[in-house]
Amino acid sequence: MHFDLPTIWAILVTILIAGYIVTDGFDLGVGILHGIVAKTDIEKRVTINAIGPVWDGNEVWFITAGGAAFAAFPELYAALFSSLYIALFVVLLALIYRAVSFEFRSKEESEGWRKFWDQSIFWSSLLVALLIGVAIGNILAGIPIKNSVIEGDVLHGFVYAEKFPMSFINLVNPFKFHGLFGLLVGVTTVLFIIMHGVSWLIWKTEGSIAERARSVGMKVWLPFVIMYVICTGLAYTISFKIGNPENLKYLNLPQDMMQQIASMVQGNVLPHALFRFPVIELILIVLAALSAVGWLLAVKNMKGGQAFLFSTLTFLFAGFAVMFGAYPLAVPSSIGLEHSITIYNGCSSQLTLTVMLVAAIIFTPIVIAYQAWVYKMFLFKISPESLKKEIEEAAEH
Amino acid sequence: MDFVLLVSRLQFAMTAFFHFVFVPLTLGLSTLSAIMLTLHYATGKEIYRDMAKFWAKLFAINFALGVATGLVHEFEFGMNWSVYSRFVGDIFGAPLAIEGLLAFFMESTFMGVFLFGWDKVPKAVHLLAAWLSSIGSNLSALWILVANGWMQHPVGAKVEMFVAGKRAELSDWWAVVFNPVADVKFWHTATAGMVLSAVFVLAVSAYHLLRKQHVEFFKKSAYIALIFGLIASIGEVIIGDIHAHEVAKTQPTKLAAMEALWETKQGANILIAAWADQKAQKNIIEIPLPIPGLLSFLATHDFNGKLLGAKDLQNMFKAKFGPGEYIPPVNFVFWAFHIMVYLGFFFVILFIWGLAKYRNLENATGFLKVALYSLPLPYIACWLGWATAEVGRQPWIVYPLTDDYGKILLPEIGLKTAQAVSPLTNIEVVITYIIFLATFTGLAIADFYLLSKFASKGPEKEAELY
Repeated sequence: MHFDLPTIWAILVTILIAGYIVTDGFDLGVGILHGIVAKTDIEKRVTINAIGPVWDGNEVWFITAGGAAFAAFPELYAALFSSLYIALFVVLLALIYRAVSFEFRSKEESEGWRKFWDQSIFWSSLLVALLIGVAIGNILAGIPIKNSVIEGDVLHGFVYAEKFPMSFINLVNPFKFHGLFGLLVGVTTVLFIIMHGVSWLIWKTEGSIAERARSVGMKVWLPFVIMYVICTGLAYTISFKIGNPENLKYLNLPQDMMQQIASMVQGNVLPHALFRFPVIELILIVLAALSAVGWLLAVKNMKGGQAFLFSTLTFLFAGFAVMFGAYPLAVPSSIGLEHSITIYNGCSSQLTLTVMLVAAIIFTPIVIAYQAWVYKMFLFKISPESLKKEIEEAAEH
Repeated sequence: MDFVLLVSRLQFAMTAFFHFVFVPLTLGLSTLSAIMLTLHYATGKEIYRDMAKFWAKLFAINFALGVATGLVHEFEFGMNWSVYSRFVGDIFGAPLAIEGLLAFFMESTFMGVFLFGWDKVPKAVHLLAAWLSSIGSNLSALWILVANGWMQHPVGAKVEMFVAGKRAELSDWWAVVFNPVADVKFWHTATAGMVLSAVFVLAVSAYHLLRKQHVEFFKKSAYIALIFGLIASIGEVIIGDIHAHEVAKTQPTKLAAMEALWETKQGANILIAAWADQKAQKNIIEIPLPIPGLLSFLATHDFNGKLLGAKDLQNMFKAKFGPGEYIPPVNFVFWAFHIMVYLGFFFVILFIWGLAKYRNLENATGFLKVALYSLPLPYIACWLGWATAEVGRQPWIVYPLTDDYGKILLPEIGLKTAQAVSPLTNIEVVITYIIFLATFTGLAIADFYLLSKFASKGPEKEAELY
């Protein structure tokens, strides 16, 4: 591993994606849970108000991760977003409906109106969580992209080799390895998101909603752990074939890294492609598992803050295990390893990476500081009773 | 035109169109509600509290859709324009990332504090949050226009061969940030948002004043809007002039289309109206303004200045870039630009008229009716301005770097829109286009329904809750 600019940016983009999952993750979880833990209209309003002041700030992590990927890894941004065209379209549509569902729901009294937006909140949150996992799984397992420079085309960059509709269907096709792995990671992500939502509801609310959240939490823990073990086991089996070893130069890797990979190749296959740093990865995976156990204990004892910390750590450890595993590959190609996007052939110029790094060093701590400050300000507990009181007080004002 | 290209262009234009329904109001109304909140905390008067609350509520309804369409916009670069994205990403991506990091976080985080912090956070914090949210939304406009300005005038860049293909790379970051085209674009857009919001507040106030309800409340709101709007609209005219001057220097084909100028001229006239025959490269109808050399003066600051006409420009570009049409659709660009300019002057008059009638505003029925029905006009002006800028850029997606009224400095950085589109299939783009169109239309209708519902209800004592 080198500490050069592409590597630093790979870490930063991982942090931004983790930032998104950790922040927007709990409000996605609350969106999924809101139909289960809240029975009456006032309880539903409490669950939405539990994320009210923060969810759109959380969603900015997604926008910023997208922007940072565009700036630091433009080849990756262009290839991935055009390749996953329809999948990304569905995510965007779901995010749009979610945003407006929160905003519109309370604006009309009618029961039908509110039920419609309740359904919309549930399905859109579920779909976003699922598809983010599906995308991550597919990318890790390798998708059929090719580097058009190898064929002498200097304009198109990395392009998807399959055409619609197979390009979309195969992402969730259980008979294709990347589709199957995508589905499994998708389900794992949904379970994690629900756990994270449970943490938040126990932290932020009290009474009936927190109680019900706890009982959901106790039920999803085991399925999550099982799914995580299955995904990790399957990730160990991932390998990539090499078409023409000559063309591995297009990966643009530093020489020693290239030699290390070459020494791992057996025949024309790179085996255990996601386990190049087995010790670091094993440590991270064990830490993720321990955090998950900590989460279960915290939820059992109704300690919301602790639960939130542990679900956050679970994801961070698991996420960095994935990053270390894939490094230096960003999007491995299932056609041939030489067609893969790496952090070295997908990145921006040194100057851009430097400028962006300076901006990130200055502004990221500021953003985290004021977001944390706002969170602290809004971390008072709410319940159906407190909400009713607030409505009455405003009317008297 | 290639089908995927056509639909991708339609889809991007549609997203911009809807985004630009919501965003200008966000830009200006956030500032207006921050001003009202400041008045409340400075004077302690309850009426300003109610005003800030009322207008901020309309702002919040509108904001969610601005975010939603903006999100689509950011991702559409990669989805539909992958060749463009990879070609320019080294430069174009940075302002987008900084927009998120610097502006969006600030805007959305502090908007949450402003909307939900009533009586929960200290007054000073609440006020600071309102201003930071407003500054954040305007900063986001700055960074997106730095990105857009670069497409129009790609400074601070060079073209390099990278391992994944040919692309533009950054050579001077500060040149990109202080790109003169980007900076005037920002002020032009920010003031447009202020004018639009002022007309919005004025029109809603006029609605209530015509019904003689909540008179004090809406008279005060209208007053703030009139002062704010007058300053912004005069600023808009001045900045518009500076902007046109920059366009003349850096995008001569766009200027030629904006003014339907076919022949190269010294002391060129402004046309009040024109209709062009694009094939024959001449105007069928033209009505000039009787001030000789005014166009030359505005564009070059010299009444006798020379401006290249579309005919010569077409030949010049053809010699440099090969066969093709290098003049954007003249009638479209001409009328989009001219109607926008006429509306710009109309707003100045509207605000002056309102201030003149202010003492007895609730009985100035004629003015109030005009103000009420003017509500769609600033929206139309914003769309037309946007269309002028982007259609006027065609056939380029990255305009070859040009300065000094037609000197092409870096031809190889020019990228045509037709080259920039992703290798997608017809069916994919049709699916997304139709569903986005239906979604955005439905949401815009719901948005306008809710806006009009809460706007016509007037101020109310309600808790800010979901």
